[in-house]
Amino acid sequence: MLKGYAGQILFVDLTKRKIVKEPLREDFAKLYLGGRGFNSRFLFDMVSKGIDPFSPENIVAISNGPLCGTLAPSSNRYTVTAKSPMTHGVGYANSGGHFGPEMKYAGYDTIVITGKADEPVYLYIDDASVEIRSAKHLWGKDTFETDAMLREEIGDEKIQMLYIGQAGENLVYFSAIINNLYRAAARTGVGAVMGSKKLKAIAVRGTGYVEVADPDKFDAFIDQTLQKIYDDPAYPSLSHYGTPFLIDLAYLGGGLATRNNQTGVFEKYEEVSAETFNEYYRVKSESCFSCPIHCGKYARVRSGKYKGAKGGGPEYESIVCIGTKCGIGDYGAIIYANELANRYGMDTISLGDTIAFAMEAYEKGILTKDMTDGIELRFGNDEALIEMIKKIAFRDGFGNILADGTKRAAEKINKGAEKFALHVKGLEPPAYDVRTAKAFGLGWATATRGADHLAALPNFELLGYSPEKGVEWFGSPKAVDPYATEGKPRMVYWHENFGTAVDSAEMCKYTCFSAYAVKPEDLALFINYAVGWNLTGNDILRIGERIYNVERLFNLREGISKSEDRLPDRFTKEPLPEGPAKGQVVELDKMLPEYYKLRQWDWETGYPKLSKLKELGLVEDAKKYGLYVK
Amino acid sequence: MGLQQEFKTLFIEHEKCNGCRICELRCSFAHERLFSPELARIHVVKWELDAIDVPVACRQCVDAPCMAVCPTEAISRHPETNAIIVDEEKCIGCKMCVIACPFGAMQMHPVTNKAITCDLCGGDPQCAKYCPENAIHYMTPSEYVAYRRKEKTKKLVGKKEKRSPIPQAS
Repeated sequence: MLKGYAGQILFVDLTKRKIVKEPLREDFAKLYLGGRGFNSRFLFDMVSKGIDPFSPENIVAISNGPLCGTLAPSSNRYTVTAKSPMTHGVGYANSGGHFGPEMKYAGYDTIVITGKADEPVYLYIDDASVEIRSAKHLWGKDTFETDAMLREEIGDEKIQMLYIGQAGENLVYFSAIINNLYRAAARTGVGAVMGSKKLKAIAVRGTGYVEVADPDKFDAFIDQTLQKIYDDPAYPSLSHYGTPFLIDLAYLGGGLATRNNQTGVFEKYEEVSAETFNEYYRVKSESCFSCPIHCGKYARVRSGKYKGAKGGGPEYESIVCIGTKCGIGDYGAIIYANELANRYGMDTISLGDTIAFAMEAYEKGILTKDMTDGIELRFGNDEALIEMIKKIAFRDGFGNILADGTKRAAEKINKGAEKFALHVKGLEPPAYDVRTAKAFGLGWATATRGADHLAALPNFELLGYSPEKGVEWFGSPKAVDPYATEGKPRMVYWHENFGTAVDSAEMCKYTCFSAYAVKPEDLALFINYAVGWNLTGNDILRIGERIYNVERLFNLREGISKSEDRLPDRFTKEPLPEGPAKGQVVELDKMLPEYYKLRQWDWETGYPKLSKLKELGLVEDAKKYGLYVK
Repeated sequence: MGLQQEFKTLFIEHEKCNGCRICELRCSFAHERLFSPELARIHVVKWELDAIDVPVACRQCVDAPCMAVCPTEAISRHPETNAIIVDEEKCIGCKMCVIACPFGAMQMHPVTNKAITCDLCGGDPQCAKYCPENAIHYMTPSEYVAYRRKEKTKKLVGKKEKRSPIPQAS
């Protein structure tokens, strides 16, 4: 049996209530590695062209990775993949916590859900035993209630679960899948697809083990890597303050996204600073499985209007998207809003962005009080934010319009609202204002799942490296300047390929991309010692590139053309009006052609060139749908 | 000459624990060369709603109830570390020690069906060595008490770790 892997894939057809287990093939594992890679391949092969994302023909694929469940630092993640209701292209989201390893110990690398149940169900996996159980009593419950009820019902404290809240049941487009109460596989609406299948939850208990091919070398290499992680200058920031430390970084760079990205300077910065969070709201860290970093925080509101609100987070992305982008500088409101998003099961990025968009429309007079159910939807109005979150989760009144996300809400509202409807391919943008980080800007435009900071995560441009290092890594001394465009296409190309492999090994990007403690050649060693292969760093990059191109082919096949590798005008045509980055825009036109050249994608059609497809072994797939150029 | 002979044991500051469970994996890897929380001799009990994590492991009791109830005298002390040791040959798998342990630290090995518990890794406990938060200490009782006293009085003299959210370039 293949070491490192669980060795088994579980197929569950909810329509026929059929459960099939198949062994994992080594050749498949070697091409797609695991996690995101397995899922993207299953999506491409199992979902036929042009289906409705909410139809039974869609799939929900859930995979952990070859390092998951071991001591390889922070390799606990799992990815969920489906055709996205937001983008109608590849939809995927990943999450940490403790679910991924438990699923592996139960004996599965991947779970693929197909079909649709005729009534609410949940899946209960107890090692080899797999049952589809009724979830009628859980339907309508939030994630916290679902967690408690399943724990009680199954009677095993050690089960791990993922579940949707009411938002997923109500097909809110940006619904998340939640695990361990506070961790979310949030983006692209994978929770809504789960809801469309009437699948409320998956509970899993695994009492097995993961065995690696060379325990001694694996162990020694962990020691080496841990040292690099602990020596990383970002380690104390990330470990103690958690991602809120990025608020301070964004503020210093003039890119703290404010009021639907109308500016990068937030006047209430101090109220949302990392130090304010640390001093008044942080209770402790709460870690994912087998992670030495512990960036997750647990927070509590001790006084004021939102006294008593508590829970995991809020992460930097949430603080910005449901906070500063909505003009809100009160951690009490942000923590409470974050708790609601976790309970109802929604992506805080898309949720906050969509409300911020509506607030701008309201302030511009495009929306009026009679259209918003009497809610004064102004920037900075925390009560309006809370009220809208509840209305969206239940698709109540005006919430029903916002529940479809920014792009579709703008189409319905019309009257010029499209101009400031911020999205790429239908997915709302993350926190960092990319006018202050150009590689991130390019990365949003080229990410396969829409506006996404994690597809590339080119932290390299933000870390204050020397110009020499810029030349060494990406061929330009300016690669280390976040406002510059030089060297950025190469940076994004490399980061996307490596990042895709990291997502497929299901190691956390904070280990690989915060100080590059794990580079492609290091990831190769981890996998070699675990599985017994002889991969090189270049093999890792090629695996990443292969998966990236499968996702690209899927998008092209679904009609997402080259013209959608773009950014909203706000980022390319409206210069930042004030602050340290005053005057900055993303010069996408300067970067995109070079990026296409590196990818060997045709500039006219956006299709991959045959030579690249040959190198990646994807010729047949591209030919099947006519998606290639010579 | 000291008043008594002291042995080192595990002292766990659960308020420092963030629930990463690296201790569980280190334990199973040290004893079985496999990664499996099920095979670990230390377990983190989690109360997620309130973010409370409590690692539980053998206390190496002075008057050990497991040893007292064992009908086959399979449980003894290690001559050097003084750790509770279960003799697999003598153990009949009656689980009396599991019942007797006040902490739930004595458990059955899922494959051999014999009793297992923390053996302090022969004097180099891996959980203590690798805990990222230094929440697990391998100390004698007097060492731990001294450490705690010092820690708790740090506040009085205003000793606070200097921190900055912005990464300091090295």
